[in-house]
Amino acid sequence: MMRTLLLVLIAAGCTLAPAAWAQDKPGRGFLKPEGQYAELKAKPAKDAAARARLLYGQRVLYKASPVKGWVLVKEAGGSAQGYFPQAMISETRPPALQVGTIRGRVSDTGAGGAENISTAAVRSLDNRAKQYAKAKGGDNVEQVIADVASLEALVDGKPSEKIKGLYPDKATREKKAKAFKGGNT
Amino acid sequence: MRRTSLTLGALCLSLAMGSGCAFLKKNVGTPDIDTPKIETPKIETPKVETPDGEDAVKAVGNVSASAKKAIDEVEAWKDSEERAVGDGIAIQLAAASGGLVTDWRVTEYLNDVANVVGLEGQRRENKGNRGQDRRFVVGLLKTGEINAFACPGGFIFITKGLLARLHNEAELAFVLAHEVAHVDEEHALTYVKLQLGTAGAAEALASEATGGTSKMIDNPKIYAFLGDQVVKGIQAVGFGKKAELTADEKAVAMMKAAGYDPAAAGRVLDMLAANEQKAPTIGKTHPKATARKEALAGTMDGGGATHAGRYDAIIRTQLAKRK
Repeated sequence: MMRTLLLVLIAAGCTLAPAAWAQDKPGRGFLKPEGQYAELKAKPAKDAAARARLLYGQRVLYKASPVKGWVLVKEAGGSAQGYFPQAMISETRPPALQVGTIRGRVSDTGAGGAENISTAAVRSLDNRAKQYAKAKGGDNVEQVIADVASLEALVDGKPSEKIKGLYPDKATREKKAKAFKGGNT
Repeated sequence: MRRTSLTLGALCLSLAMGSGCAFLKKNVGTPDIDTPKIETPKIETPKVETPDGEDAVKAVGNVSASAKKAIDEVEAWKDSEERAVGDGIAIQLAAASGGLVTDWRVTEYLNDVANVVGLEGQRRENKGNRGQDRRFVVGLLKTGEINAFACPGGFIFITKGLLARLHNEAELAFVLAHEVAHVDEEHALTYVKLQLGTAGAAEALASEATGGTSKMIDNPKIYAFLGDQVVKGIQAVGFGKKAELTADEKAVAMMKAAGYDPAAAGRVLDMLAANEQKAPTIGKTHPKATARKEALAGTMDGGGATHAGRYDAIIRTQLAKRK
């Protein structure tokens, strides 16, 4: 009797977590930050194709991740999900990011900012540009739309200072160049 | 009994959490996309005059009132509006060129190099309505043809054929800085303005969808017209030979400021000269590579980094894996 009950409970448990996502019911208590730091650090590049489906202005579910400044975003009512810089999520809006699912919006306005008229106009223009490209494009246009959106997310998610910081500062570069004149530095 | 229920509840909860994680992990994976062999698309050369630098500016000065209003609208675009329009043009161009290589290690590297040299471009000069918030978005086209393109809004494309013929990061920096210079100098936007003065644009602008006081870009007909013309222009007509020489000059300046060896520019131009048969479009849209190198004479000295090791580790290794 107890064994049967246990099997039923296990079966129920196995289906509840995906159902919580699929039915768009936040706060069921089954979700938690996942992944090790090193694993998550590699994710922004790895899940770019999934992120591409999460376009600006789309309503999403999101939750905290173990890496400061990044959140895991899930398409509401869909399957696409990926890690986004927290600054790209406009909350609608709890006071602070919490563990668990919260409704948000993938945004280009920064955390918590309400979209202004100008931004809405640009978004509308951007959508129109995509629609037109879609109408004109060939068999591969849907994939290209997703790929270009991924490129934008890749670049916009990285501050200029960080890009510059990937390389030595100018003085160091010149010093190295002098030391290795004619060779590779 | 109560204790048993609590234990079972906790067990169920932990199992559910576990299955949730498994579900999530299953869906967050590295996209496994093979690069299919795609033939280089045939591009028909449209009958459009090349907007050669100052000539283009003169051409747009002599237009109807409605075209002048539309040109003023383009002039007033901020970075965000330019980017939104450029987005559609970039998608159209990439789709027409056979699509993008989705290797994110290579892509991230290309974008980093473009934005490193991009920081030394117009952003530093602080002039005009646009440019201060501009980010450069680089995509790798699958085509084996040797070429690179710049669209409005900072969208840049380099072909796999060109990337495979470069030897180090400094050479890549020259190619990308050349395209960054086209964006900063707004050569594609000049093309847009030039097109607004043509008969095709006049017809689109006269359509009732414009609605008198509304913005030019809200008119779907003018948007469609511009999209088509600009994509054809970027692919097959180019920005004009003066514009190309300007882009070369600015690119070398950006490379130097970013610490790259400017002599790499000469090596890229030598490579283009040796591969003229494999780069038919560049031959039509750019001055001869030998002439471009001569124009840069005396500017490519000074030394700097080539970062050949980093280029090999990322580009050559990744491209070899995809063969």
